[in-house]
Amino acid sequence: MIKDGIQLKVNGRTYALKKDRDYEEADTLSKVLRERFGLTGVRVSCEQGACGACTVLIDGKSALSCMMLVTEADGCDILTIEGLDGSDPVVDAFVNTYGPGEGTAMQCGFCTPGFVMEAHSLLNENPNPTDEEITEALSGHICRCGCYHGIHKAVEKAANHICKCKEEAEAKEAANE
Amino acid sequence: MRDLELYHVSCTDEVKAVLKEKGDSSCVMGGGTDLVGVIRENILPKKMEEIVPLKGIQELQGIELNEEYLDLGAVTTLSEVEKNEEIKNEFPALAEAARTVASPQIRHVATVGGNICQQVRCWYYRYQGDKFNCLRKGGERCNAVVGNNLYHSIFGVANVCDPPCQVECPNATNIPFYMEKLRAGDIEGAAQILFEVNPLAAVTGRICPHTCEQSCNRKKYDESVSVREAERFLGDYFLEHPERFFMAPKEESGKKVSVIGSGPAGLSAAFYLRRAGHAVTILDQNPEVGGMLYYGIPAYRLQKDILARYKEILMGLGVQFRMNTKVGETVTLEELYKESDIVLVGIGAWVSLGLDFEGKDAEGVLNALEFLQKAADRVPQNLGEKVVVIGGGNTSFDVCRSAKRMGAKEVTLLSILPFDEMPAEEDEIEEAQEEGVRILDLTTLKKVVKDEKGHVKSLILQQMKKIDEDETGLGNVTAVEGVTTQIDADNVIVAIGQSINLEGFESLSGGGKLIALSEKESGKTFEEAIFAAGDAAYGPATAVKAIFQGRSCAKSICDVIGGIEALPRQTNRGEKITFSSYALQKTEKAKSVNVPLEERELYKEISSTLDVEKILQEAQRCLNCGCVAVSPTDVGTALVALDAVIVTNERQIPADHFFKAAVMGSTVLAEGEIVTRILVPRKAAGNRQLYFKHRTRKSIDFPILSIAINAHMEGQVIEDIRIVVGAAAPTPKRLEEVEDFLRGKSLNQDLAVQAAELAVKDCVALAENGYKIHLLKVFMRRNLEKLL
Repeated sequence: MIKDGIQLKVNGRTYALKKDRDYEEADTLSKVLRERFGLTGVRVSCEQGACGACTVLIDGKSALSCMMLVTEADGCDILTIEGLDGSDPVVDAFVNTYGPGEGTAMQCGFCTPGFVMEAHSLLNENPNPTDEEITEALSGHICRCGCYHGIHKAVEKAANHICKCKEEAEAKEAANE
Repeated sequence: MRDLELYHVSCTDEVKAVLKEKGDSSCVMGGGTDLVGVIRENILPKKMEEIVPLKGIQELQGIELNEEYLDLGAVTTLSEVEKNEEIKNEFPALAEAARTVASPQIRHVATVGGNICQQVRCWYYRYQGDKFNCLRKGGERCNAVVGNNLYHSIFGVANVCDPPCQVECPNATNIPFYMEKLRAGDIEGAAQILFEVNPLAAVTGRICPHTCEQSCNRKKYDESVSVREAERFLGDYFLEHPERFFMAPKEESGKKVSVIGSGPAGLSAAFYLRRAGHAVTILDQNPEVGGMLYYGIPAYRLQKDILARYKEILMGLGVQFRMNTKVGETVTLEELYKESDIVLVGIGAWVSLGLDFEGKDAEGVLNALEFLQKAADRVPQNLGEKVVVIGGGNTSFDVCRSAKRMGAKEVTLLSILPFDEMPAEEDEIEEAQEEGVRILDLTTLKKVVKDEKGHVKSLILQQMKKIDEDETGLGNVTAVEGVTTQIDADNVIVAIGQSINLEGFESLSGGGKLIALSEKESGKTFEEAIFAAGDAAYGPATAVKAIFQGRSCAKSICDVIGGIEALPRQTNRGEKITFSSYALQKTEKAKSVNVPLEERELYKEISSTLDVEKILQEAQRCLNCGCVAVSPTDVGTALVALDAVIVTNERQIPADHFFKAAVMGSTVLAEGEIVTRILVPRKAAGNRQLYFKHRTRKSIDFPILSIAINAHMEGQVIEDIRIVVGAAAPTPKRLEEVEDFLRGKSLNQDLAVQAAELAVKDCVALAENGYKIHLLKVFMRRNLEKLL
């Protein structure tokens, strides 16, 4: 009944972890990702489920890795910011949101991985979110620099970009046929 | 974090087995978004070591819509509920409630089952460890009642466990319950509650040390509630209206019980036994009824006519008294045993303990009981001008104050213990000092110096000092070598305690100093059909203990000879209890006024019973100690509105009855019981539903107030409606009165206004949450208008 090991798929690769060697039962997912996998893009700040900095994707959906015991993620597909493509549209949008009237989407950067992963979770499910849906999706994240406006804009941009790419790809496919 | 073990199991039977085996240190985990924090921050005083995650268990998964029900697995995540099209269509209140919980990351993981079972969010409860001695964690008080209660209940208090006054009362008197009746102006009801456990309240209301008051939570706020005065008032009320309380039995049982001793234990047992229909005879060696109450307690504290009144009432019920009858002389135990079905021995502790000092044989050295007994019998005692009393307990103060009233000019009490460790009641000490009794603490008598006639002339006193607690844990004192003083004295009265004279009862002692009991609680002795109660069986103690022992003993006697149904049952305050907002103001404790010093006499009562207004006012001060935390569940509030059924591995529970404020819990779930599924009936789902949640920010927060409405409407006419408010009461609260008011009516703005007024009718504001009542009123109106 007590598992002596678990399997995690982290950023595309599957790992077999052994209890007491790789993790302890009381370890949270965030602790294992940071300390065993060295994935420090998983930020840990409040450790009580309030700030959203530790957000990762579990089977495509956002979750707080600081409020989840690692054994509960057994068999899951976990994606952290380190696992995103080099040309990730959401990351691009965060980086490139600084124009007049846009504000900036990242200042100190501490909260950014959480927001980015949350945006992915939203766009996976709903590529065309309304303003309100974006606000609600980001509601579990705190940015101490106060860049909420810029972050909101960046997610909007990313959504537009993804939709545009998708349309282009569809058009291309249609043309090919 | 602490060491944890996670038990992964595949079915609910295995869950139960683990919980059963591991007991208190184990618990189940839904999504864990609350539990991980609870464990990490050591919020629970108990150690949490074994966790059974439920997410992998198939019987707990899945959403299914069958003909009758929406069948929801307990581990369904909130985001699954929120996004499910069928739920959104047919049960929008449920979908909306799920959507308002916390943030998306939490809803992706958190479960429906976890949401309805979550622990309260009170900051005192959620504080690490148990610094606040929180009632909800099994402690003694609710800090929120008088502390920070911004988000707490506006619908009264939850009865989560017995309050400290009741726990401290040797008779387990349900004090807050009769206080609640008094607050409602129901004197008769209050008196009935007290009478059931203590027919002698007129006695205890005067002389009980009232340990209940010492543990009263109000003491940390201003002063304790005066249980004494309320009890005295109610006790007098019994005696003024005996016909309503002291009922003769409807039938005679034909059994005969002989009660030896007419003290508090004997009187209490005799009353209950008579009520059960048994023929009861009380035998006593003294001419007057009351035992130590008559002969040991001075008349200024307890008027003798009260005891005579009890005798008269009991005789009216058919109890026989054989006074001046000493067992062992006038009649033997064997003879009594032969002529009765049961013999109850309640002979008390009538031997004054002696103290060893040089010159103890001097004329003028007296013992406390003899002194008090003579005073009761009005026998002149020729006290001198200077009386020295040795003691420190209540009896020694009775002696001091009696001596003062008998004309002694100078009364000095010697206490071997430091002043603040004397066992006497505070009031008793204060009043004695007021009357001029001098107290010498950390002092003991070393030697009595006699005059030529062998009478006490002066005393040599030994100074004591406190030493560190020894291994036994008891505080200790030792003599300060060479430090003595000498004072003049005419009398020395030793009042250092009592013991039991077992003459005539040797066969019951088993060689010990008390009557030996085969079962501590029941008062059974090792002899068949002989029971014992009071000091003789349990050692010297208070009257209230003897009354309790008499009642317990009567109970076990009735177990043997019948009549148990006539004995009182434990009363319960009910789940939801209330207190008055007056209790939140700083107020003074009610105190009966003592007669002026110059008018104090030995045979005159020192104070009189307070009048009814003062008592009703005092009852307003009782906080009715319970928990004012609110249930934070969103989903639960919607489920009650939707008339859902919570299915567990043991039974099916209507959502209405699922929530319960308890020590470290918020549901009625028993140990080893877990929620498996939730059934939401399609028939009950109305065509207009809503879930409204008010919080400090738009998302990721707990409700300050929430409202779930489930209405069946035909046009504007409300055919049926269920309205539930969340975060307003200890559990999600259905507003049935409002529902009844609205049912069958055509909804319009006026009606919504009236319904909103009705919704707040029973609200009670704490110091800081009055705004929630306004919120409820406004939001109730607005949300009803939304149905239009």
